Amino acid sequence: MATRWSSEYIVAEHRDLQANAMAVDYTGNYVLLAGRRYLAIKNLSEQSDRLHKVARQSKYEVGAAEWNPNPSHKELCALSSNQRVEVLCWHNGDLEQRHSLKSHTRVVSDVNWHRFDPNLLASCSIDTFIHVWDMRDTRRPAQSLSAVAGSTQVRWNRLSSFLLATAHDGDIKLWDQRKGTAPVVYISAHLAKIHGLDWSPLHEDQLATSSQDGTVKLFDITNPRKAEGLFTTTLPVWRARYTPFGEGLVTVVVPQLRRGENSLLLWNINNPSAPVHTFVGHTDVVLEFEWRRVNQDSSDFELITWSRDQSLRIWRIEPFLQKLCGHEPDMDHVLDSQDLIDDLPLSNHDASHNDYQRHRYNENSMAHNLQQLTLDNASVLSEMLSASGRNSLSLSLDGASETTDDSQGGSVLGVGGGGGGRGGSSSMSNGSATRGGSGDSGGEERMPSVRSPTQPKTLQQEFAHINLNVTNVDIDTMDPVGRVCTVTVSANGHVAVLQITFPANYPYNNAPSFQFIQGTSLNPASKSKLQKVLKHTAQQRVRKSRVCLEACLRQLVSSLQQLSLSEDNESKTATFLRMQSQPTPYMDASNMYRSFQDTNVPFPRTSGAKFSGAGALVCFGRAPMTKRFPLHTEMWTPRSLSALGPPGTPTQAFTSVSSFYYQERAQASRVRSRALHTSSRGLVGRMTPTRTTRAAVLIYDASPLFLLHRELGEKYIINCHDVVAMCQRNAAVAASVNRRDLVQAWTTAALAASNPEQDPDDGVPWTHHPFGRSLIESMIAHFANQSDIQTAAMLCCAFSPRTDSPDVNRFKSSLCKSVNLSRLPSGKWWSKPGGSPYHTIHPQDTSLEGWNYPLLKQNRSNSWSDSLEGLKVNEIKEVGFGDTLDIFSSVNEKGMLDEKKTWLYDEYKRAYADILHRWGLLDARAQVMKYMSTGLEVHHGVEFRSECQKCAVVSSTASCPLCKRISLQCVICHISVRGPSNVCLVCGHGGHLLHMQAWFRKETRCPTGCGCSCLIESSSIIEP
Amino acid sequence: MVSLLNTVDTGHEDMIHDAEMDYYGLRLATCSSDNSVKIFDVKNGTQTLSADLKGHYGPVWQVAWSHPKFGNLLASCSYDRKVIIWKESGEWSKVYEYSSHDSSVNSVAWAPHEFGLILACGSSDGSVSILYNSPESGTWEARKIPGAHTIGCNAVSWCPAATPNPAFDSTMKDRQPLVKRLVTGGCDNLVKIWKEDGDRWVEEKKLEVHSDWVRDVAWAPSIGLPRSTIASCSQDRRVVIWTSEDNITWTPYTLHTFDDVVWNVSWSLTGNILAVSGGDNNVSLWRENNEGQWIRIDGKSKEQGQLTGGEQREM
Repeated sequence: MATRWSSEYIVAEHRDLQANAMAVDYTGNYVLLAGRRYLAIKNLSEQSDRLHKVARQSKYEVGAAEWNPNPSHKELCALSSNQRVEVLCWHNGDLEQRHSLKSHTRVVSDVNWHRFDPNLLASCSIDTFIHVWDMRDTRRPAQSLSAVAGSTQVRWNRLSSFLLATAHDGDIKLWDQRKGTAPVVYISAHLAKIHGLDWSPLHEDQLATSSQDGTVKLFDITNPRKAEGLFTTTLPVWRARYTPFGEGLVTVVVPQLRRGENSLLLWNINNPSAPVHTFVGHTDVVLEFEWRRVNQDSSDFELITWSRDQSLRIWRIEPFLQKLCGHEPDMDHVLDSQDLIDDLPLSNHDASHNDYQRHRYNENSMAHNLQQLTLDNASVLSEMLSASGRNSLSLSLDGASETTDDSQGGSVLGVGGGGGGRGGSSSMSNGSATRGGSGDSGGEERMPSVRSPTQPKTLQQEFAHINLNVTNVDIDTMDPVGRVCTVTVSANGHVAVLQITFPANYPYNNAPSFQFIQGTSLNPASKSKLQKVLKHTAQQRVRKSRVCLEACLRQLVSSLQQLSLSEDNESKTATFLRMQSQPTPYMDASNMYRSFQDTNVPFPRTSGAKFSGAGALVCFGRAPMTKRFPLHTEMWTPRSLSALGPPGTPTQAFTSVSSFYYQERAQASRVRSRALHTSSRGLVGRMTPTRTTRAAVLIYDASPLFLLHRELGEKYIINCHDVVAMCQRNAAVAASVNRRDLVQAWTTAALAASNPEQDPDDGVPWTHHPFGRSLIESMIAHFANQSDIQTAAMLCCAFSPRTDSPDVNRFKSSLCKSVNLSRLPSGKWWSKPGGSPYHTIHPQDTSLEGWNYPLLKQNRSNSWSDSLEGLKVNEIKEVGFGDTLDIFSSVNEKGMLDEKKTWLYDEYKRAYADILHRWGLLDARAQVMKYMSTGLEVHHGVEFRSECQKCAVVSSTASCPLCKRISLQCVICHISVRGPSNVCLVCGHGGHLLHMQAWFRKETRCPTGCGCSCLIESSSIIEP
Repeated sequence: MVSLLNTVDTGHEDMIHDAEMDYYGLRLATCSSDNSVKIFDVKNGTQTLSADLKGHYGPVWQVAWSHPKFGNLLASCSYDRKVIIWKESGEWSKVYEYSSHDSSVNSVAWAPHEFGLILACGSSDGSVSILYNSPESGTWEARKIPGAHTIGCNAVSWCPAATPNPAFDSTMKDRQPLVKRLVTGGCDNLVKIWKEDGDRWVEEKKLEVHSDWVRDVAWAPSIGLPRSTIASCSQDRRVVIWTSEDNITWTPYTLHTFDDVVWNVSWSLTGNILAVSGGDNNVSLWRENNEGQWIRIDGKSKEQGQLTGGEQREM
């Protein structure tokens, strides 16, 4: 997939026009929109949406429309309508008909102005005639070419003034205007109908055809038997046109189809595997598109498109897009891309002239010059064609002709360097030899393949990524482990077997080494020359830590071809080497989004099911009526996104994910759903149901599949003080939800829990009795294995020792101690801090001496755990209970579970607590978490300390450690607060909760009169 | 036994690629080829669209909810090479955008909440990123496993935090500190297990059984049993269940070979039921029986679309 987002910046809708033809004039300012009822001219240089509309009294649609591409007659516009061709003149803001050309006897299918002669217009029709009209005498055609078959397209060559191509179903005929009796070349191009024809603006003999069969082919008319390039898309292609910059091609699908593919695709001619960009935005098929230049200074172009959705869009072609097509606007040597604008509408007349003249001809002298030149060209061409056995060589446009006998192979070097140039890898020498500057750039841009935007990171990756379709290259072995690769390259009768060894830290400034091995048919001089070139290429790439294998291979091919030519002409090699030293520009576009990577992107999921939440199963999928797109005949869903095109051809944007599944009906509904948003067609009622089924997500309650029950979670109780009652209660709860298996489990558990007290004298402790520990443990294990984490965790809670966290312990013991203390004579214990006989550790806080005793006491009675800080809690437990097992086991079932598995049972509890949390049963969760062997997380929040008003001693408890008074006095009733209290966080005043509530119900300030706005201040602390 | 609770008409204009409910099962997040992420409040069979998040410039492949203790956070990943983390604080907004991948990001997964707020992302550029949120500053720090899978990584999933102490050994002085582990699946047909080691992530294990791209991996949630389970599914139409007692030696078990590519596996909360879906548009549910064999528990196969309209599926 190419980029989805669009760079369009102007959209104008003209719904009333019902136009199906569009044309942009020479200046690029005026756009003609032509339909059956109206002709409209829009001035693009004006910001408004205003149209100059002319009603048209015709019952026929407009077939084709074109403005005269010559500046001298730029106001002329030709339209085809039924059997006639109308020539209109846009003059002083008015559109008037100048001529009506009548000669065709059937519908005129296409019109095309001559590229150079402003008076000539070609029209073709299915009546089998191609007429050439001269505007100076329009009574009858100036020339009529008779083809046997009806013609659908006619195009003048962009560089040669006599050459004309017409499309007849799947075939192309080329005509020389001077030899009008029969076509000079006949190309059997496609098996299906050809919809579009376009001549290359760069190469006189290059031609692009787009066809119903879903392909675009590039032909070299001098060697028409085989297409030079093949672009495959999934859908029939309506138009394929060369870009005015670089070597690009834009395609659109056939308007008759409503398959939902409304995007324009931009391709780089040298990378037929995938489009480099997608222009997405039109909500219906594109009918026509043309180019214009933004302004004279800018190298930016704009693409103007007209679609069946009746919107006119203008897309800015950013420099990066041009770069993707191999166009380097800033580089001098790419002069020839300026040529392209010769037939391109220009916003500025003068500027265009400069460019125009530089390589083309100024319009006055043009006729003469061209005639002469093209005569040569044409004669060469015809010579070539007539004497097909003999290969002939071209002449350059500068007139410096040069003929070499290319005896090596079947390759014919084309006119103007174009022929060789298109071979991709083989282009360089021919191009530079015959066309100078233009050949340079053409060759260089073509030479490296446009590949990975992401650098392959390892050699293995590089090998995996490498494009094996390099002409004349066979990769024999690839060993990413041994870091060696062997390739055989053959060109022009030479064979080179090259072994490439990659150093360990390749490609980071470490070039691989190249070695020609056995089988190479080169002389030592050539070998060293090639090695030098390869080394140079590799160095350039690895200097930037880039991989170089593919670049080197392509280099090798072209060098080898170069070699055979340069054997008779050494001087050319110098040129060639100079060219190589230029940095390769194509990688600079590497951060652009590209489509070919789709081969690595997995095919999108279109259905799925996820368990989520607390037992829901979320499903989504395609609607039931979806079927695979009939084109895709593979048995299974493809693996990568690139499969959305034909195998191996990553194509367009994501719109096609659905096109993979949806047939026309579904597509139509999608088109309509888009229309809904523009609220234009009033099909709301009809399409809604379709949409519902399409984009629906189904949520199932999958909880019956699990052995978890929310109601049980809600109703279960945990009561470790009376395990028997707890089990019986839970058994009843289980019975209420009809879980008889659980009733049984709980009853058994109740029995196991109740037994020991009945038989205290039994020699064997109950925990070791078969119905004791082992029964409970196997029950827990059973439920856990069944994934009934609920029952397993509940049993764990019931039988695990209720372990209070150390904090709670401390609190409890201190509570009990303070009770004791109150009974003791005051002053006795804290009068001699540290003097206690039990004092085995240092007091933690000397300011709290009075609390040493209870702390010590607790430490002592509750094992020596605190002094062994390194020990973990479960171990403490082990030690602790090991000591006290005998005492407690009969009381609290603490020994029912094996301490060694405490962590496992904790996990069960944690997992169950998590499920309770998901169910929103927070109380139940807290109950379960209380039984975790490890304490809860230590509280890290704010702690409140109180300061005794008399002794000014700070304490963390409610009463003063010295005077034993309760620190907090209610500011309202002045009585010590023993119950719930409330204190202002800012001024520190507070008191009984009820008193404070009552006060602040009416007031906002502190009752003491300290001036503190307690409510506001406190809340600002809590919610910063 | 599975009953339809809700049919949510998402209003997405193109294919939906993922849907997930939050921790409590109260909200639904969906993502689509129309570049948007939508969030619905789902309650008692009704749903309301609460947010339509636009920020991606390409199809959104996957969404993931974080644990609620970090707030309402949603991560989404897209073809546009970005990962976006959205947060609801009153309104939904983008809190972080991660764009250091060079190709489509295919999968996102939040780490178990015990580890903190950590997100793993797998991309077609072959790398896996792990984004750590620092709770103090709220900033995100990324660590990358470059070249985790040649050609591309298709799925990531975290090992649950509560991985039991494998040694079952109470003599161990301390419980082993929790180890962060990840499982990933990629275009190199491999399932890989990664382990955090200091500030690096190292490959712990490479599981090799699939003969085509691995499309999804899912580490089963743990309920405390001393066993780790991973499900992986692949372009080769197979689903493989991997089990291990010690996270070192893994035993594969081929669940089933399906009729079409399998691209989604999902474990139930208790880790005993696996939902499988793929290119044939069917969902199947599987459970391991007492003999250790995996059996299909949803009876016959059914087309998704037939399940609309409150129809119940028989078990």
